[in-house]
Amino acid sequence: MNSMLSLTQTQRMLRHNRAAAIGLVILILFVLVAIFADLIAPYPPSAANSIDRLQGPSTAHWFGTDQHGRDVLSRVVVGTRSSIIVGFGATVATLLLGTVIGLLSGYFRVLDWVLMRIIDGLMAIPAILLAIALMAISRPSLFNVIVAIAIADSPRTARLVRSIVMSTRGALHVDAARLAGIGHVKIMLKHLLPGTFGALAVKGTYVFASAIIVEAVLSFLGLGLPPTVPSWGNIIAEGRLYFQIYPHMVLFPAVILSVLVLSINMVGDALRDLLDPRMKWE
Amino acid sequence: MNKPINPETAPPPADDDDQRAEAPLLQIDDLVKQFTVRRGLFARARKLSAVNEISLNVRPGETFALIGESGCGKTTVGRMVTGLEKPTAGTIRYRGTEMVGRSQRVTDLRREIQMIFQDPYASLNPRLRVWESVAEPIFGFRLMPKSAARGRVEELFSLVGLRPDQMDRFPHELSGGQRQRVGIARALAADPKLIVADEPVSALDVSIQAQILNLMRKIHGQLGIAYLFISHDLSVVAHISTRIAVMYLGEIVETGETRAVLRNPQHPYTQELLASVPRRRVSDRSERVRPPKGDLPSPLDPPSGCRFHPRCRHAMPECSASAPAQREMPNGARVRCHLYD
Repeated sequence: MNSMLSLTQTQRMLRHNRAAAIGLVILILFVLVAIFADLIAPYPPSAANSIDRLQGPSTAHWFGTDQHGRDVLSRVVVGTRSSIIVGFGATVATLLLGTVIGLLSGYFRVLDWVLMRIIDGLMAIPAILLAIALMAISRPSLFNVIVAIAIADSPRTARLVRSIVMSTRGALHVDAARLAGIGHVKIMLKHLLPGTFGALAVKGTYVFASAIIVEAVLSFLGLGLPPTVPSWGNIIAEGRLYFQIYPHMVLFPAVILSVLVLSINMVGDALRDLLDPRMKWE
Repeated sequence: MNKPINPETAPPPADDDDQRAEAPLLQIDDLVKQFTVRRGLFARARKLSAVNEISLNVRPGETFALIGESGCGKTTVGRMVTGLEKPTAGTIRYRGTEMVGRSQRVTDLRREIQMIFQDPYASLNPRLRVWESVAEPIFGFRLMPKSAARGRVEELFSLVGLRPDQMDRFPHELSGGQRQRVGIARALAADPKLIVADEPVSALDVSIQAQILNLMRKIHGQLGIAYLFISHDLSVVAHISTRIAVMYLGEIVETGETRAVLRNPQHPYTQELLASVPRRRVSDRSERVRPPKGDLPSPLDPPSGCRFHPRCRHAMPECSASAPAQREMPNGARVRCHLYD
């Protein structure tokens, strides 16, 4: 494991894989925007100006203004922060939860039966409905949104990890580790978990994208982030009402969302290749 | 290894009186393993009889060969001896202790039984540097402080004929023979008294097989480790083992000193197995017996009576009626066949 993401290997990979390099640059840009949102935004995101409302893109307002005359660019910039935090938070929480459940149920047959019936039950409900239901019984807040998305999304991750673990559990090198006196926890962490990293890296990108979308839906329904906190979700939701006449309110945040999701996917694919030790970047 | 079999080259049994007095290192009595096979949710569960009432013992420092066609259950016996598989019935005693449960004594004794696997690629974690795989038993059994482990691995590397600079390689950067040397080093890292070698050379190129066998023989000589050597290849076994057991469809049909069994096989199956080994000289073929006809029957539904009778040239009516008992032959071999009733 220690060698997998060495700096030189990463550099080599980036030099050979243009898409990954571009994706990584865009992703870093988004993270920087999220961190320095307050400095980058040209206007305070909630400053209403009824004279300038519903304007198209101009030099003063690159992304135009919304129905309250708020600068859409400033709101998108500040919204980046919410989306990135929810996206990262939900991805980490989903992968952690899913991996723990998947490892345990893939390795211990007795636990598998119990855990998988619970997972089956959760998977019978569409993830977004489950998240809505969970948010309906809790207070709108960043933390609760992350928890709701993690609970709704982790069954799929658990299934993925379980299937990988079940296929490697019978491998001879796992038998060899058992004969070497290695305990269950160490076998899971050292011999079974690393085999899931490649798939998890790719899975993580889907979770990230879906987390941002679920957050948008939750915010649209008034169940996600409080309306005072701009997020791409509630910007798009608000702009939807004016879409036919003033498409810029939806278009700009939607394009930005797509660019972010695409860049994460490019990084995820490259990560998958990098984590496979048989792929060499000469 | 299509060398002609010459019983004379088999190592002589070590001092017999001495060995008999000593308690066996490994004693297997009436070992049975059945797997439950279920096709589909509502299909009836069927019993697959992989190993049926096998008894054998391995003496300290001895090389005992278990031989048979693929699917005859020999690997399952090896996996039960190492504890990777639980027996359905029967007992496995190692140094007088019955190897069941997870008591401290059993766990401690398990360390002394290690395994060399058939496929040296699948038995090494592709994500670990090979020295980390070799060090696993050292860490797993806490044999020495972590700081000393690398030095110990270096010793083991030189013992199995690998260079120290190969320690930091990944398995895919080594050849098949080198990987099997790594597998042997890992087995030795646990400081074992018994090594179950499950077809240790059958996945290797013929040119490499002899090197690995010689290495195993050298280690046997230096460290006095006993081998339970599992193979389908009589010519491999002839050169390395002192005693042999021939398995057919989960049962031992003939067992005895390797020299005696190979020189004068008693059981029809052993005779045909020997006949199926290619010979170099035509004259060797004069008394050639035909190799077994047909395929191995399914262990899901083993034949009645003697399990070999559908393929046996000497089959008599009683062969399908009752299972033969084990008889001691004049040459010391023990055979299960109605021909000798």
